[in-house]
Parts: sequence; structure tokens; C-alpha cells
Amino acid sequence: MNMRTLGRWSGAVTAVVTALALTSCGLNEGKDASKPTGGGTSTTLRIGTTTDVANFNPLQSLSKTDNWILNAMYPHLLRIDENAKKVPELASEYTHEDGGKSVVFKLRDDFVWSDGTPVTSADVKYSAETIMKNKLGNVAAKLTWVEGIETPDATTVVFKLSQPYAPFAEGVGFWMSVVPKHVFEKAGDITKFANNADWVGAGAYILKSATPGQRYVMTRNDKYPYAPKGGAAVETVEYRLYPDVNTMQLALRNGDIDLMGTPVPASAVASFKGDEKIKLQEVGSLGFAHITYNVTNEHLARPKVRQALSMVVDTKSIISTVLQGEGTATTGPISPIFAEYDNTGLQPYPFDPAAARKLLEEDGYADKNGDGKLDGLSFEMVCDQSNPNLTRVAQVVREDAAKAGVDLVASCVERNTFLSRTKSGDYDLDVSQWAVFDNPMDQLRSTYLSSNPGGINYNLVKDPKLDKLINEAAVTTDQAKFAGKIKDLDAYVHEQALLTPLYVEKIQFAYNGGKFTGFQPSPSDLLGMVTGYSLSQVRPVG
Amino acid sequence: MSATPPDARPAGAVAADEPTASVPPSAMRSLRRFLSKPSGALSISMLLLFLMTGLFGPLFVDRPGGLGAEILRPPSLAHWFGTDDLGQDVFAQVVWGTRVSLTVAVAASAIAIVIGTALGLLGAYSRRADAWVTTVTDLMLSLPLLPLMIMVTALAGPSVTTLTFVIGLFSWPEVTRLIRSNGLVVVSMPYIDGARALGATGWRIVTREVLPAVVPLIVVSVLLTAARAVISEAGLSFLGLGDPDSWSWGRIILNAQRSGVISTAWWQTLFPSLAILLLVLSATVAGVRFNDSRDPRLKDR
Amino acid sequence: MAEFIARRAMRAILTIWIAVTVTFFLLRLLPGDPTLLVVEGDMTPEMQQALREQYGLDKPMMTQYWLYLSELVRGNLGTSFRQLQPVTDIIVSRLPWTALLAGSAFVLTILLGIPLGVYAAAHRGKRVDRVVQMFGITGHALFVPSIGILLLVVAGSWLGWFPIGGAIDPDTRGLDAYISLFHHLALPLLSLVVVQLGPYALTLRTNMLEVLGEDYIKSARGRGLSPQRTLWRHALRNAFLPALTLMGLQLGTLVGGAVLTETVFAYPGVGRLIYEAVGQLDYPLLQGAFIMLAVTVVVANLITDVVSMLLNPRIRA
Repeated sequence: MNMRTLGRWSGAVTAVVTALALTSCGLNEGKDASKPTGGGTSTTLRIGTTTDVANFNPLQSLSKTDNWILNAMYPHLLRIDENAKKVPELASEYTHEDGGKSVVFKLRDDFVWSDGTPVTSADVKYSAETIMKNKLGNVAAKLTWVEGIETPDATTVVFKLSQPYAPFAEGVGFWMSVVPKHVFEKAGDITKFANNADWVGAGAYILKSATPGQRYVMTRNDKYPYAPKGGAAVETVEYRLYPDVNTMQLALRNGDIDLMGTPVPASAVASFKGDEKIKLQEVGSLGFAHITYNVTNEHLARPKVRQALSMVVDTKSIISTVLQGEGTATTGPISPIFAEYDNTGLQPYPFDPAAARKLLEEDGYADKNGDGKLDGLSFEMVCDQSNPNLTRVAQVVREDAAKAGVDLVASCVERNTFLSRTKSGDYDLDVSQWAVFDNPMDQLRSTYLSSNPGGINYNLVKDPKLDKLINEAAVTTDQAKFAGKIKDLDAYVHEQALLTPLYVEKIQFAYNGGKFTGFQPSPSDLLGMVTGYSLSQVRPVG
Repeated sequence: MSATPPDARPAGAVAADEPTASVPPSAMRSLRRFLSKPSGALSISMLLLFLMTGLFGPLFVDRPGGLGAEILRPPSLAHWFGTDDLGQDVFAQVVWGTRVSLTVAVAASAIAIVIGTALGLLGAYSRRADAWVTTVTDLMLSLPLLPLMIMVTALAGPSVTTLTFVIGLFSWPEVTRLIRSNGLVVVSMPYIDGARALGATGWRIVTREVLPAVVPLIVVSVLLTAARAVISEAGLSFLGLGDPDSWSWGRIILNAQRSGVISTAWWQTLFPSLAILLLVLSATVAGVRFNDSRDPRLKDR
Repeated sequence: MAEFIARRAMRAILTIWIAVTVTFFLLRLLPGDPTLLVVEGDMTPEMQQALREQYGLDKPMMTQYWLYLSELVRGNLGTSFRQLQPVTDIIVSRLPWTALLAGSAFVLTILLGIPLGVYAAAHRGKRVDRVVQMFGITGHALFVPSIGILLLVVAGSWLGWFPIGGAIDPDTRGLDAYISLFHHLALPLLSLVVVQLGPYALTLRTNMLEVLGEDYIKSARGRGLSPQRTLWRHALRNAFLPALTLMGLQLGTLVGGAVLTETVFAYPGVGRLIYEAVGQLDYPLLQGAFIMLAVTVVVANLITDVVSMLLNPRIRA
């Protein structure tokens, strides 16, 4: 080859490379026109998330990762502060009238949708009625007793209840997203409304662009009433996608993101030690990790099988190893956070695979083909692969179950797939984590009523006795009797072994303390550092 | 995936020559020549070491499992390769992983060799079939096979058997190419014409004359295909498509990745990586050396 | 020349057809519900029904095959189970990144491999040659994720020289955008090139040695041409083209490597899409990703063939 040929060849190479580079993305030109060019002038907070937004409709989505983004965009009547207390957000106050049968929310008058329309009581009424009509999400369960919603003026909403229900105001106030009526109404069938462009919100940050697989960009809402004087210091919040927690951690240490949306797994806390700029923030937990049994499976419908499976879960070792001691054990469905309602008399199922096997054999299971496993007892156990703690738990439980002759197949799948499978009942066992339960009554109603009003009865249990116990407790107004009934329920669910609690985890978030400060964390990994309120208070360091 | 020149030249690559089906020198002389080079002796010892580990290691090392008290400890006398985030011994995982890697490698390469040799001989002997064999082989070689393997494994359900079949069924084209090109040389030799003139059937000529002549090449192929299979198995396991019941080197690295410890617990990725490197390297070197040692022309190198 | 291109194009189409056919039947012969491949996941009943009709899922398999092919020709690869969007759209949005990554690796390997291989051949037996040989054989044994993790942790995290995750900083403009692009590309690219380069240089060296042994080279030397001139002018020309074609055939493995690299580096290409689709059990997406990658590789091969033809006066004449 002579020089001319070589020249021609390198010319071709250059052409190919240039063409590839140009087709790649047009190198950002023409995209995100709303953003200032140069990039250096505005303050951007970059947060790592693990999965794409599955559903942009806040009335429908049950996903924690969706909620991080949606929660900052749509206001709630109340929010949860760092001490797990409900405090005003859109509502400035609420009162009970008519012996508890009317709940009156007073709204602030300075919330404005990003298209300029004020947020009014009509929006709240519309949101609640849409949820009730279409039985959307877990909020539907909390609205069960609502007979009518009245809006005497633009800043007053009155919920008329068929009976007094103490947790009503806090439950609905905290959980229900308020959406712009004038936008959502136009969409027609709300269950099919994707809400995936031209977002109109009234929270601290409004979504501007979504690039699946890469990032979600939100910009500051200058009219957010809780922002400090002069507006929130962070103008842009950018969620970047890191499907694997490792890369996310490295990205934080490297300065490519400023905050991990996902809590730091216990095994990785050490990787931040010795890095001065990285700060860890501990927040309280409002939920707990657990294994749920799908009782529509003929074997899992048998209490003894569930009890036996509870006996192959070595919670003590799981806490000391997987969580490196950063968690506490819990028994029964009521978490020790609710000290008043937690039935402390319950004895946890002992970790004893041999006894579990014996229990199963008593229940009629046998190993006739001699493969060491009890015939018929093969289950699929699903989990979320982006939660390192739970994927490890799944692995450990699987091995211990084999000792009891039970074959568990662990399917740790991508987060949104996991959610869609649990939602549709496409699993036998489900290793997962409740993010937030704000009161035990709502929890029991959402998770165990056969009518499944909250859509999170993942057990798919239909037990008339359980229904009766729950419904009786719900109408009990005497506090002491009410607590007693919750404790009875705690015991009943525990005996039935509808779930095997794993642990209440100490949640830690990692952020770049060298760059940002002023986060207002809330408990739980659902809220954590990324509520709209918290983000609006963040300031750059120095 | 490692880069294997698709004309299955790796064996010849180092020797600077295509493997050729020359008349084999005596076995003893070959072996002596093979072992006379330090790299030959070293690679064979290394392969034997892995084989021993895979066969007998699990007898001496407990199956990794359960939860240990010592979490994420660096390598020490008690834990040679350190421990992972469950407190399991990484050395034990690597030892048990050796067995799976070797099983998949050997079984997959056996499948690939049988299919590859049969097609290669068919192509070499029958001119009519040859066009098809070459075309299909070339086409297979030019496709991105890893995505295809991923898809098939995901659908068939991950297990050691699935991995073995998937890897075996997608690895034969390299073998076919090698056997065919050298089979062609043998087929054109005068003694084959002689056999044909004596009225030998095609089957007889292929099995009695051509096949024995390419046997040394098959040995080389076994080593190289097995080496590639180790890499493929590790790759699929790393992507989460490994057998959840068996330890595999790829799975150890995947665990490190999923628990978020790759930047701190370097031992959890380093040792399985080294195991892959050493096993594949020694199999490749052994294949190359074996090929060289049969070729008298290379004596002086 | 036109005939040559036509023949190669036919071959390319044949390859793609075989790839599609093999996947179609392979996946339907595997255990499990065949309809699973088209309808499942989070789809609404209406969507499922529409797709059932489109793909004739109640009809015999050959009919389904023809329907699938005819949809494919129209660029329809089905609908993703989880993202509920056309598979083609999803992949097309990711494909440029993989093309950039694999394409750059391809070019870089050739640009570095040629001098390395020629130099080694020219200095046969010397130290350089031995290094190339060692590097070449070790290349086969390198596990892409291991190299990737090593680069990620050392160059990305400890030294902090490179950004982690992503393919470009979307807020950069003009020249900065190009810098950001290559800055993000560097580590994934390097991990691919490290694995490819050695074996490639080695093959080139082998080809060179063969060529150098041929008579016309000897006669060129005999005519008094300098060794350098002989090497670059005569030998490389004859060794280079087969080497280029060879690299073209390497593309399949290169793309396979990209799947692993993109996973390690959170690079938003088709490779990571495949990894995500595995986690999502999204079979139409997996199938579509494979077909699109196969098409890309085959087309790239076709281009390589045509380029070598244009560079090779002997074929052109």
C-alpha cells in the first residue's frame, strides 16, 4: 500500500467516525432548548436512580422510583417531616367536625400550577373522586368511607364520611397526589392516561424532559410556596439512570452525581469511609422487609406450609450479615415503630429447617421420588434485583429452604418487572420491602382485606375471618379497645404466617457533602432526601 | 467474548502457520517436543491443576453457602481469597466454580467438536455439500452470537445443561472451518484417490483415511473451543444467566457487582478473573504448543 | 464491480434471513408458550388481541413465520412487553451508541493493529515480536467484564480521570460536547480494544510472514528495493486486505463484547438494553435487539467488503 492509498483509507476512516459521531445524537444540539447553554451557570443537583419511570400518572403509580420524581411535582395535602409527623403542605390545617364524620381541609391559596392556574379545592375533589371511581392505587383504600366531597370555596375541602375513621385525614392527606383537574380531565379515560409529556405540576420541581435509559430533568417551580426566600437554590434536578448500584456509588464518588436516590446497601457503606466529601444521612424507617406468600397457590394456601417456610428464614443471621447489624427484627405484620399497637407477646418462628421439614411431613408432604425434596413443594420467589440486600436474602433463604426439602427458585428481576409481576399475582413468594406504613389500620386494610381496596393485598388472601376482624377494628372508636383489636390482628396474621417479616432496616443515603447541604430528610426510602420540600431547601456549599 | 479470529487461526497464530494435517511424527517425540518448551510444560501443569481442583477440590472445601460471621474480609490465612458480603469464602466459591466452568467447557466443546468435525469432513469430502457448509459456517461466524445465546438461555431457563447446550451449539462453526480446510488438503492427496480407485466407499474413506489425519487438529480444537466456552459461560453468568444452583466464576463477579462492593472488595472480582485468565490462557497455549510440536518445520523456533 | 457488490449484497440479505429464521424457529421450539414471544407482560387485553391478529398466532407456524417476515420487512419488530412501545423505536434510540462504541473499537483496532503486526513481522523473533505474540495469545483469555471493572475502578474511580456511566453530558454544546462524548467513550472503548487488539495484530503478523515468504517479495528485494520499502509497499498491501476482511468478520464478537462492556459502564447502548431486557423478561425486545445487531454487523461487513474492493486494484480491474 502506498501513501496515497493510505491517505484514502484514513480519509474513509475519518468519514466513518464522523458519520457515527454525528448520527449518535446530533451532539445535544436542538435538545432541551429550555436549558441555558454552557451548562455552568445554573445549579444542577444530579441524583442517581435505578430504573426508568414506569408510569407518569401519579394517581396510578405504585413504584417507589416513580414516586421520587412524581412526588416532587404534585402537591399533597400533608407531608411527613423528619420526625415522621404529618405537617402542612398544600393544606394549611385540617379539622374534624360532626363527631369525626366530616373532615375539613383548609388549603393554602398560594399554590399555582405551572401553567399559571391556581391550585384550588376543585383539584383536590377531582383527584379524590377520580381515585374512588377508578379504584386507583393504594389511596383508594383510604377513601373507602367517603360519601361525598364538598368545596364550599376555593380553599376549603370537606370530606363527608359514612363513619368516623381516625386515620383518615393523615392517610389521605399524606398519600393522595393532587393533580391539575383542567389537564387530567381532558385526557378522557384516566386509567389509560400516560401523562408522559408537557407536565403541569405545582410541587417544588416540574419534569421537563424524559430520556428513557438516560435521564429525567426537572426544573425549579418558582412559585413553590415553601421555597426559601429568593427561590430554591437548586434550579435543575436531574435524575440519571444507573441500573446497578455499584456504578451509582462510583459515580457519586467520582462527582458524576451528587446524591444516590437508592439507599446505600450495608455491604457498601464501607466504600464511602475515608472519602471526606461524601456524607451519609441516616433516616428512620416506616416500613419493613418481608416475604409474602401468594395464597392462590394450592400449597401456599395451607397455613402449615407457610409456617414451615417461616421457619427456614434465619432473620438473626440475615440482620447481622446482610445488614451488618444495621437493622432490627420484627414479628408479625405490625412493625415495632407502632409501639402502641405492636403485639409484643408474639413469638417469632424459630429458625429450624429440620423442624420445618417435619412440619411439612406432618402436613402430608413426602419425598416419594427420593430426590431429597418434598414432592410438589417448588415455588418461584421473585425479588427486585436493584435491591442488593433483598437479592442476598433471597439467595440465603433459598439455600435454607432446600434443607427443609422445599425448592425455591429465586427470580430476581428488574425493578419494574418485579412490580408488575407482584401486582398481577404472577409469583409464589415475594421478597420485598414495604416503604411506608403511616398507621397500622390502613396497613391491615390495604394488605389483607379480600376486596383489596388498596391494590396491595399481595397475598391475594380472601379470609372471611380476617375481613371480619379488620372491619370490626376499623369502626372501633375506643382507643384501648382499638389497640387491642390491632394486637389481635397482629397475632392472627402471625399465626397464619401470611408473611414472614425480615427486618426493619436502618436506611442510609449518601450525598456529596462537599457540594450540597441543607437536605431536609424524611423517614423511609420512599421519601428520604428527594421530596420536593427537601430538594427546595438544598443549597450549594460555599 | 474474547477475540478469536474467525478463520480459527488462533492455533496457528502464534506458530505463524495454519495448523496443518501433516503426517504426524511419533507420539513420544511430539510429547517430548511439546514439553521441551517451558510454556508447553507450564500450560499443561496449569491445566492439570485446574482439572484436579475441579475434580477433587470440592471434596476438601465446603460448598459455599449460608451466612458467615466474617464479612468482606480481605485475603488472609483463614480465607485465602477473602470473604464476600455474606461472609462466604471466596476461595471456596472459586474452587466450586472451577468444577462448573470445566464441566461446561468440556461438555460444550464435545458438542461443538462432534458437530463441527462432522460438518467439516462433509464439506471437505463432498463438493456438493461443501458450498452449503461453507456458506452456513461463514454466516454463523459473522453473526453477533452472544445476544443470541443470551436470548436462548433466558427463554430455556438458566441451568448448567442449558448453558452447555447453548454454548456447544453456537461454537461449532470455528471447528468446521478448521477441519474442512485441512480435510481438503488430505482429500486431495494421492492416497485418497488410490483408495477411491480401489472401490472404497465415501464413508470408509472419510472415517478411515481423512478423520485419522485430522485427529491432531481435533485435539487442538478441543482445547481452543473449551477455552472459548469458559469465557462464554463466565459472560452469560455475569449477565445473570448462570445456574442459580451452581457456583460459577461469572456469578462471583456478578455478586460483587450487585452488592456494590467492586471498588472495596477487590478480592471478590480479582480471583475469579484470574482463574478465568489462567485457565483460558493455559488451554490456548497448550493448543498452540501442541500444534507447533507436530510440525517439524517449526523445530528450530 | 457492480456484480461484486450485488453478490455481496445478496449474501448479506441471505445472512440476515438466516439469522431471522433461526431465531424465529429456535425460540418457538423451546419449551414455553410460543405466543409468549409476541404478547405478554403488561399489555392490555386489547393490545394483546391486536398483536395476536397481526401475527396470526392462532394459525400454523409457517403462516406465523411469513407474517413475522412481512412485518419485519416493514421494520416492525413487535411491541415490547414492558415498555409497551414498538421494539424498533426503542432499539433505534439506543443503536447509535453501540454503533459508535463498536465502530470506534473496530477502527482503533485496525489503526493500532496494523503497525503493530507489521512491525512484529519485520522484527520477527525480536523482543517486540515476542511481546506481540504474548499480547496476542493473552487477548483470547481476557474476560471483558474483568477488564471493564479494572478500568472502571482504577481509571474511573481511584484516579477519577473519566466520568462514570452515561455516554455524554447532555448539557454540553459544540466542541465541549465532542470532548464529553469521547471522555465518556474512552473506558468502554479501551476495554474492547485491549481484548481485540492483540489477537488481531498477531493475525496480521502471520499474514505478513506468509506474504514475506513469497517469491515476488524475494524478487523485489532482489531488485534492490530497500527492506522498508518492500515491507510497506508490497507486503502490507497483500497482507492488509485479508486482514481488513478478517476484522470485518470480527464484528460479531466485537458486538458481543459491547454487550458486556456497556453493562459494566452503564453505557446506554443496545448492549445494556439487552441486559435490561433479560431482567425484564422482555422477549420481543431481546429478539429485536439481536436482529438489529445482526443487521448492523452484516451491513458493516458489506461496507468493509466494498471498501476493501475499492482499495484493492486487483479486484477492481
